[in-house]
Amino acid sequence: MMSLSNHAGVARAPVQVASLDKLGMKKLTVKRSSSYRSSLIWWLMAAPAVLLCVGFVWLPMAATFGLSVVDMNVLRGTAAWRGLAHYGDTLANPDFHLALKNTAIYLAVLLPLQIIVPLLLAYALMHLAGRVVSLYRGALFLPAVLSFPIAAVVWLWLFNPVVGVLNAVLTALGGMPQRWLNDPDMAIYAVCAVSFWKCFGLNLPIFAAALANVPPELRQAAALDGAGPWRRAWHVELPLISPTLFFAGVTTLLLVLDEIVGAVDALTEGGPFKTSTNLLYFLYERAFRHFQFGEAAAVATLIMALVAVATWLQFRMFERRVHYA
Amino acid sequence: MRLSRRTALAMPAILVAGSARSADARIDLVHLFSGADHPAQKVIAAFNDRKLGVTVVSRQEGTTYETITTKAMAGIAAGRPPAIMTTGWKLADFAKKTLGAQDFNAIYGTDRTAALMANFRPGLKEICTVGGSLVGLPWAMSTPVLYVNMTLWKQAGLDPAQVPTTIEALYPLAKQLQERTSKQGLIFEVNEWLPQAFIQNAGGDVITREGQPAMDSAAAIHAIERFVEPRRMGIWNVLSIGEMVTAFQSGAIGVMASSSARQSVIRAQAQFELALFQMPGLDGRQRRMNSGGNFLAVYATNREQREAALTFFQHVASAEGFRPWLATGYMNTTVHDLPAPGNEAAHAQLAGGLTSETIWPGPRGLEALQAHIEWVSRIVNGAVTVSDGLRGSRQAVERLISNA
Amino acid sequence: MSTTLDVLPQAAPLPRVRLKLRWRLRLPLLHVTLAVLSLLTVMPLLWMVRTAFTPHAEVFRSTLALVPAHPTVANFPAAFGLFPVGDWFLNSLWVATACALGKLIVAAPAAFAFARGRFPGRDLGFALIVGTMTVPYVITLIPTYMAVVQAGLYDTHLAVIVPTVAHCGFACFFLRQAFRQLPGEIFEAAAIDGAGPWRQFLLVALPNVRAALAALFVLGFLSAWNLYLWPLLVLESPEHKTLAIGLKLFATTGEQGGQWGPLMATAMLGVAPALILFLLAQKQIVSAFVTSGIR
Repeated sequence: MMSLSNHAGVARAPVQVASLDKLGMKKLTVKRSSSYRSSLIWWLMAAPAVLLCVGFVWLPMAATFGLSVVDMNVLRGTAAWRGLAHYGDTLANPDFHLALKNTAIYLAVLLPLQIIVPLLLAYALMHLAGRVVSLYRGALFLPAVLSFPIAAVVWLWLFNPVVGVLNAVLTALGGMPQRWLNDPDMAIYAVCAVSFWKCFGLNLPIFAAALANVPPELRQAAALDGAGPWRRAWHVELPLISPTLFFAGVTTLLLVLDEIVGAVDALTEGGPFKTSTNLLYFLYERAFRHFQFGEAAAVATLIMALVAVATWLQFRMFERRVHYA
Repeated sequence: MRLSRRTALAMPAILVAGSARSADARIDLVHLFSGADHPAQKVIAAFNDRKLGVTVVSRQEGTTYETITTKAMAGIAAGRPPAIMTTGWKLADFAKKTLGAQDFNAIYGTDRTAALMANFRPGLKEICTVGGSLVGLPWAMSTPVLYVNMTLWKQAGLDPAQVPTTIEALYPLAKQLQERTSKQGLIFEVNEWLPQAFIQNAGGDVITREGQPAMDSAAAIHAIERFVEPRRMGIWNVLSIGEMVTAFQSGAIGVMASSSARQSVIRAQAQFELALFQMPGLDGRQRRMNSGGNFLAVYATNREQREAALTFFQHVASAEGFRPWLATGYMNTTVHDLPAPGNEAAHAQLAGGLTSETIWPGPRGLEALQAHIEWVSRIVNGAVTVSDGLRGSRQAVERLISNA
Repeated sequence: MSTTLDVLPQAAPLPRVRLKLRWRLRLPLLHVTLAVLSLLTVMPLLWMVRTAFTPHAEVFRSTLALVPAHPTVANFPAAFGLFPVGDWFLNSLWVATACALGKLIVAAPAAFAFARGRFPGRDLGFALIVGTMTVPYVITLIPTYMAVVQAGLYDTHLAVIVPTVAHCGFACFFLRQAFRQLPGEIFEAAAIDGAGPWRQFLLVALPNVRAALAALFVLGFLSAWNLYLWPLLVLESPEHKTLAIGLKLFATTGEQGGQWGPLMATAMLGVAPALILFLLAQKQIVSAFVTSGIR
């Protein structure tokens, strides 16, 4: 490795371009062009993306923390120091506790469902052949392509207690018509259903791709060793796709937290009386319905802390089990 | 000749400003009325057709007062207040203190304001006045009425002429309707407004004139116990307001208590015989029905927009301007003699005297209103008892009002 | 190595020697199950289509029939008459295209720099970008909203486009993978020919990742087409609204009469471009996932 320095004695990063010729011998070619200049160009290529990310994600996160310790009245443009008062108010607020509990419910219901169901489906699809398979795949992925307002509008119509199809089917089968989104006990599960319907297809191509990337030799070897499909799946394929499973776990966690807000807003606006709200929707409401930015920022900071803990937990618990080939 | 950069950049702006000056003044009217065929659009179109140098732009921002008020707050926070907005009566205080609704006397002078308000019934001026400022034009006033599906009523063997005057008399009739026709007997709006009718008719108040929450007084508790009785009787399945209207229109419910303002829409959509009854009072208590709806308030901060708004107001207050408006279910708040077919029940109540809607005071009045609605919803859904729920509401509202 | 795979590798056929009778019977069973599930998944959308063609007189009848008794197309013009649906549609089209293109324009050079470049702060920059994928979007709303208002961009489409383009973490991540999969020799050859980073990017790298770019464009378009919460906050005038938030406004008019037929017609309009893009690009998207080496 050679390093070049210019007249000013500044050491440039060594640049080496290596390639193998037919005999497998290394050929060294040293670029004469200024590596400092190309450093700058690389930097310029990357800069817009980095600046935008910092400006629209990281800076807002820091600003949120700053907002949470002042009392900002947006309509009048005043701000007053409040210290940790907003945090105290939030933690004492029973609506916050309800939102917290609901978030736990959403996660407990949707996180496993949105990972296990697409996995099973991808696995089943893998065993089938024929053009109809792409039809299945398309149909199952279809709801993921819609926006939340559309999904909500469609399901609001289905859920209508008087003229909706769901109650029509239910009564035809002899059941009692339900209130669905109006029912304080059922609303959250109705929202779960819509969110699941819309999002379960998202993990489907990811798992299908991961399963397809499993080398067939390993599968056949296991088969020849006498393992039936279930044992093969458990001992061979699952560990091999575990990095994907892990990646899907992390992204699905964020998906459930984030996209539910759209679902809730379009379906129930958190009702009836906040039984279907979740933490992020609570935040959204505080900020943009009531314009209590300070309190909302406190909620946001608390959520950030929770997400960090949840992600760290996921890493601790599952990363060990991820089998990197 | 080389243009300096500054001149070059300024030229498009000059062009735009020049063209703007020669055009009409454009003002936004933010409202909550849906549909291109709504009478509000007709009123606006009629005004624009008169070519008085002002063009009103219709902006529907939502379908409830809460939503459009929230949107207005967003606009105000961004430095772009709506020029005119249909402001819910219940948010009059909030509009003045937080949103910045302008005092007519201050921006138009006492003479012009008096001339404008002379078009309206004298008693309404008081409702439009908050803290000494006249903040709005009493444009849209409604009152609770009973919508009755006469087809089902007759089918149940009930007498169409037997109009119940008390709630206690209504319930057995609704129950009979449900038993004989297998359709839901009754449905009430679950919000702050209809319970207010009950509470006032029992002699109580949701919020006193001094601004104190009083929704857990003995009279109020008595009223709300009556309010939720149909739930206990099994003749009222709770639905959201949108679902309620859909259900009633489709003939699935016998009796609906709702705002008289809906009558034009329901008449248009219903395919059964429709009748409107006056809202019943409570047995043994004096009738004290409330009003609802909205007034037109000015939020614009520049003179040109305010004057343009006045031109619109003068049109709306005139007989010709107000006439198409009566095609909604809103009542004739003017002193002009205008026909209002189909809306006799509401006008009878108006003639009998209506109180104002509850005004939700303080800079966090909007939140207080929503907190109260949630407590009502809890009570109706059986999550808490009536007295616990009303007490919870009072505490929540007190906290928000005192936080001012 | 070809990067234009267009077909998902076929599943390895089960070795015939192990194909007992009960496994043979399971295949049709699988087909039936999947067919039923697919139908169930699509059913709500079929119902939407059905309602869009149902005349107003029949809409409120509670029925199980999949085909309305008197189908009509009157709901579509009715929808346009009730709300500025045409404006909404065009706004959505413009905003979604701008967002998708914007993301590519910003992310592609950056991804290439992270994949092949060497410069101080490279790894930190990449971590900053990819780290944004772990931040719940709702948390950034408040300060972004305040910044947009301060910048005077409230109620403009730019207010929607710029923050959306800023969330380009996934695109950067994905493209960097794609670039890394390209053989190093082609870049070295270009470098020897005197091409600097920018020219290597434009002339060598980009043409070889067309599949990934197409997939990202489609995904970016779809996600921007479906944007809901953020435009709801910053778009105010009726002329500026996008279809997603116009639909929400339309849906809440139930309190004033409920025009479900035209509402479903509008929803169909909202679904159509997404659906078409999806059908055309389905293979591209799936193959892009496969070739990205996700395992």
